[in-house]
Amino acid sequence: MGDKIESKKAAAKAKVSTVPGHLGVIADEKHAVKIADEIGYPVMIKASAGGGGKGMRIAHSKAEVAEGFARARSEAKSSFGDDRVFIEKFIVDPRHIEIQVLGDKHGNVIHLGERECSIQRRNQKVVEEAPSPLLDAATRKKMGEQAVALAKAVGYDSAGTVEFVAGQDKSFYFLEMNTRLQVEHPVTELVTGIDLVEQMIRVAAGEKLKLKQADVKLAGWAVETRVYAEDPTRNFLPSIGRLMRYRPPAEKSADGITVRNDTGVYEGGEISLYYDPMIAKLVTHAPTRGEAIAAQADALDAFAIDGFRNNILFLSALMQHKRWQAGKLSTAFLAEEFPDGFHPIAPEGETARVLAAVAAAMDHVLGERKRRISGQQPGARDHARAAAHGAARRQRERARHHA
Amino acid sequence: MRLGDSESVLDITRDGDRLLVRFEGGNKKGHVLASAWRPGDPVWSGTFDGRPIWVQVRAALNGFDVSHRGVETARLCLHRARGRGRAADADQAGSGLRQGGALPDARARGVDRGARRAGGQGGETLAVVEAMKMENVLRAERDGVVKAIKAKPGDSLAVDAVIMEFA
Repeated sequence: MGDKIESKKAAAKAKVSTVPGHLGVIADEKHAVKIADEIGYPVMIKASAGGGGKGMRIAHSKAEVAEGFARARSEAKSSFGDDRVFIEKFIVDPRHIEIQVLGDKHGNVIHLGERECSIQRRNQKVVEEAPSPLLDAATRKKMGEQAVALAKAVGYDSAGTVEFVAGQDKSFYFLEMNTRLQVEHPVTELVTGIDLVEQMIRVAAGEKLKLKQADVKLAGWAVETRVYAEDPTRNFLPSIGRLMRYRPPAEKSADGITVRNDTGVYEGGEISLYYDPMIAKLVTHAPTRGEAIAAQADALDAFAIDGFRNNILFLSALMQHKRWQAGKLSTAFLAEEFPDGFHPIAPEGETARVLAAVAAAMDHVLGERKRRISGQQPGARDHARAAAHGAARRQRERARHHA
Repeated sequence: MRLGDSESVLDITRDGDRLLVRFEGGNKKGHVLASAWRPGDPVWSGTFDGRPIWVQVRAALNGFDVSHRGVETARLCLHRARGRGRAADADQAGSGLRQGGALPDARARGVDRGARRAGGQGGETLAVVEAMKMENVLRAERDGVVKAIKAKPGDSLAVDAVIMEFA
């Protein structure tokens, strides 16, 4: 199922709805253009062995197909060692929704609900959430059943993800299956309370799945943002350097809010050009979507990274974005909302007041520290003493008041 | 206090372990801030009128670069005059929250030698560079003629390295 072409054939056989397209491998640019003309534009060109959004291109015309085909093939060969490429119809205003499945070696398969991963840039996911703001219980049930049917048809065991492209009208088509644990799996773990990695190990050891479909319940809402070593103000150019400072927000679970940070980096480590630009996955969980988003905003504000450009400011701005908060998503969200790239927002209103007040507070603290230095001009010390006396006097007055 | 392009005048006094900030023309009650922040901490973590908030801080000349909820300021300049916060006439070449960093080395994948002979046309592909496993197409911005090609396929490129020159 890791082969996109073969998996589509398997899906069609298992009666899972699929995206219209050409199911064979394409020989060359001329062949690609011919097929694209038949399917009708726009089309999506994809590497059969691809993943992580690489080896994919949207094409709106013959010329774009010819160039896109060559590039996709080249990326596929160098990244996956397999240059087979196919073409399918590109659904307009689509949403990327996927179902987490879990199977054992005894033929049992269950699904653990969906994730929506529509916020993407150049086909690479930036923000994911569970559950999806689009789905209702009926659609979730249908998608889950089709995903389980597909996994059972191919005898799948362990954790896997069946990806669908969904229209705004809740129609959905099978896209591909990821036969591995995915980057965004934490959001599913937080809403279901199930440790997916633990389940994978148990299944690999030959255990039967103790969980039944009825045991799977979704509670609350989880949001994950991917912290990348990219400069959002320079069209997300990758940025390398050393992690001079890496201070993520405290991981905790209190008052219904959970903050979790999955990462493989450490302060002092190097971010090089040889690997993916991901630094960390910041995940929050709360009883409602609004609260999960607010928790993300706070967690991002508390995340300090120095040494290279990163996208934390962009993710922070995204959490404040009205359309994101309303859940009106599509995979074109970032391209539509940030057509000229990301430009930092100017402060205004309440945020401006907060920033000004905090800056004044910090300046004051700095000033207090400076005034305590010995050997200063008498005036400065008197000023500090006067301020201290004033504060002490007010405190005494308050104590008398409350007594 | 200058925050980006806007100015505000405010008054700040200490009250035990809290600070009281009053904006000129604003709420007379002012705002109460409390925090254990010390100079050098990259995050100001505390409460604003009882509400927990976090603000990213980096020291800058004559002030701080701060960001909160996706908003960042272009230089915050503070100047004390008779105990009141006032805007300073410092530089306005604000550049926002800046962190050190370098652009990656990019590997040249294909340099279009045909461009040299034919003369590049606006929009034509001139070269393909690969960085962090993604291929990026560099196109001609307008019609022109390539004078020299400085890289060959497979080369590793450093930041700002010249790939080709136009006549």
